[in-house]
Amino acid sequence: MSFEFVFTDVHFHRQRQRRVRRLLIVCNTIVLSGCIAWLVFGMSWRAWPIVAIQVGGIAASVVLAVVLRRRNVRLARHLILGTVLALLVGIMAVEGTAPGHPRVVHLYLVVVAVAAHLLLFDAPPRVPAAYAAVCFVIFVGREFGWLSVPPIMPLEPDAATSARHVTVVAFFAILLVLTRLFVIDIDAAGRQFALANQRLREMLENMLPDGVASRLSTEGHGFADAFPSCSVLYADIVGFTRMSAGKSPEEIVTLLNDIFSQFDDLVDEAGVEKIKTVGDAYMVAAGVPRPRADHAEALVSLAFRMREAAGGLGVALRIGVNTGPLVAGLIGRTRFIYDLWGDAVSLATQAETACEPGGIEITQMTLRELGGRFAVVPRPAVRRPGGAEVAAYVVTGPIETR
Amino acid sequence: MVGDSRRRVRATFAPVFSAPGPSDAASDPERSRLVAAVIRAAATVSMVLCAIWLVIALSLRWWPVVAVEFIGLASCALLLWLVAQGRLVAASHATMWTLLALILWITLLEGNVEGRPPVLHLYAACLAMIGYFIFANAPRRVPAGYAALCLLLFVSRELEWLALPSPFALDADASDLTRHVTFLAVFIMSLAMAKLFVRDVTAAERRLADVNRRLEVILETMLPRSVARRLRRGGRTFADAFPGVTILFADLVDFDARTKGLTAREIVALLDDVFTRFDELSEKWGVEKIKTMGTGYMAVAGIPEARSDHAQAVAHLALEMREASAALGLPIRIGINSGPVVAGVIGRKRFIYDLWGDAVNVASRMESQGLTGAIQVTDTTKEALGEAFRFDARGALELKGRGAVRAWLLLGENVGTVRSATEAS
Repeated sequence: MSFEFVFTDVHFHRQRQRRVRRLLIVCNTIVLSGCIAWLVFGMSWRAWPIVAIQVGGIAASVVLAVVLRRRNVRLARHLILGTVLALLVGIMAVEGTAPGHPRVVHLYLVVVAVAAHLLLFDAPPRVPAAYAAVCFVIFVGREFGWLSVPPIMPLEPDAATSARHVTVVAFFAILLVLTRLFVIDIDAAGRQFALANQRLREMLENMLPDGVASRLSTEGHGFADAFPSCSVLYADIVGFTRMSAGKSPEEIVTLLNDIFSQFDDLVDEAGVEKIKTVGDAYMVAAGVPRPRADHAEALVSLAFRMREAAGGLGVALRIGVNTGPLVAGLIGRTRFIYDLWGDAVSLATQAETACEPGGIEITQMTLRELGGRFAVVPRPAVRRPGGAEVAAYVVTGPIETR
Repeated sequence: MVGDSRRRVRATFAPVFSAPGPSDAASDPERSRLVAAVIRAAATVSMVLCAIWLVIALSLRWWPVVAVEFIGLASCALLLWLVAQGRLVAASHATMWTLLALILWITLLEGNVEGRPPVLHLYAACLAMIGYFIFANAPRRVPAGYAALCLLLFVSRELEWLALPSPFALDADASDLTRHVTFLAVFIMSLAMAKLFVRDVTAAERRLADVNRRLEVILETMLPRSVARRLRRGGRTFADAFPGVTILFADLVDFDARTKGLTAREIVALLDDVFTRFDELSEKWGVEKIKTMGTGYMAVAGIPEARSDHAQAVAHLALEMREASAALGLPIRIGINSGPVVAGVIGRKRFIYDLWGDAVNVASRMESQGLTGAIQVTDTTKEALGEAFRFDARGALELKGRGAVRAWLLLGENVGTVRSATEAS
């Protein structure tokens, strides 16, 4: 068996952390290049307040780069939010409050408040809420002109219009990008959820027959059904104890694994149910949990294929098949096995024990179900647990009638 | 007790079969309820805004605005009705188109006045966010398409490609009021959308953690904990050798005869009661249940983690199992042996943690050749148990392919001796 038991929730959290780190790097690069560009403009215009703000911004950005390099994302995200807030306050001071020039820079505060929710995804909710509150106070203060300062550097009307266009369009674009980032997270979580659920289902399908796992969800454990007619196959490796004498325990289990894995594939192809392995024995049933008419034929055909596969690995089998009514279900609260109960099961083991090495022994009930499609030779009778004798036969091969 | 454990199993397995799969995410009822709530909230807020503007417009006698606000009110009422009808997809599209039309109309009314930059198109930014939220389960091109429409409207107003003379000569005060209301609304709506996205992601994360926790519980139900951990890391079939373990086989004697007259379901329900009780006892003594075989029960101590008191743990378990089954009126036969085994998970399907080795076969023979109501142990196990337990000699038993083996019947603990290390540890 091979399962990939990865914890998808842990995986998702790491994915988000990595994305936040990348986002921080991108933000920092934008801040740094913006500051450098404005520094050049500021110096060429000899607008010293602008120069001062940009120098502060560049310094903060360098610190942030160092923090990010040390992979301290926790600190870095507070730093970037603080830097951007400080820069915005500086820019708003430069923008000032001039009559006839509506203020727009504070729109970026909306972006900061939204970004805080994205960046601080694993912090307590009050942390991004606090950032949002700070942004809101400054926003309202600016909007209603409570924080009015004379513009440090009045812009010409044309320049002011361009600046406004840039700000407002950038506002839309950044908001859209942040929204997309949220959506990416939601999609990623949905994908991981689907993956985890699919793994869970695959695991259950591996462990239990179709439709049985879902009954655990409605009935818990301890449920069973009576099946009036189905067949049970019991296969045992001849001389396994003797065979294992000269081998290391690991070699023995590896051999068993090779044999049983091949049997598992054959069982899948035949569309019958593997019930379990008991030591070096292998148990299969047909007609449970889904009834089928050709259950005896399916198991006898499977027996021939199992014998062939085992022969390929240099192993001889003893196989017993019996047909009859039985009860199938799931009991106990741990180590669930879909199991069978009834005389039909014991008779299958009886037939296996009585079988000659390399033979396939069936009871008269199985023979009746086979309807003459296989050639048989009589064998000494086997006994029911109650004591009654049941005629037994060894199957020599299929009869080609068609 | 059995009822409790059945309930636990149901609770663990039920969500696996009811939780939305990869393709039916759209039918996730929790998400749909959230979207419905958002549309309801948006429609309600819009109705309030429309009402405010209606009052403002009425007081200023801006009749076209009055008309628009009336239409807005009607549309919001339609949305609320669609949501109430449960037609969520229709309601989602109707929401987007209503809001788009509303924004287009108010920006047209706003027009362009010299010296007063337009502001109402800022709402389009919020609308794009809303689209991404309410179409979370739709193909991504749906909200992207709405976002593109919003962007087009937004940019054409901002850059005055869609410049019109304002039908009203707004005075400076009214213009300032419009601006303030718009800016504040944009801030609050954007923040509200961000909070909703956070809630969405958190909910998705919670579901993810839940399904993973369930995976762990189910895996640990099927396999010993340390084996489950190992499979999770390596994900490979494996087997290990254990030099010293103690194996127990138990079988309900004459179960078929004793349950004559009961239906198949009743019989299995009875077995379930017995084995669930045994499972609890195994857990209590730290013994690994391996499997049940018909009316048989197999358990082992000393794997997957080696322990020095494996024989004591199994002896205690055997004594209590005998007591428990006797209380249920079902006599039991128990066989115990100690020795080296190989344990692991093999095969491709229906895997269980299983044991192989001569010691296992001997333990099984100890049970099958035992006496009803007795616990039969081998010499090896008796030696490992030492003086803390009382035994009766059973004599030599002839085992198939192995010759004579000395066997003992475990009677109970020696009164007055210190209880085993199992309890001390």
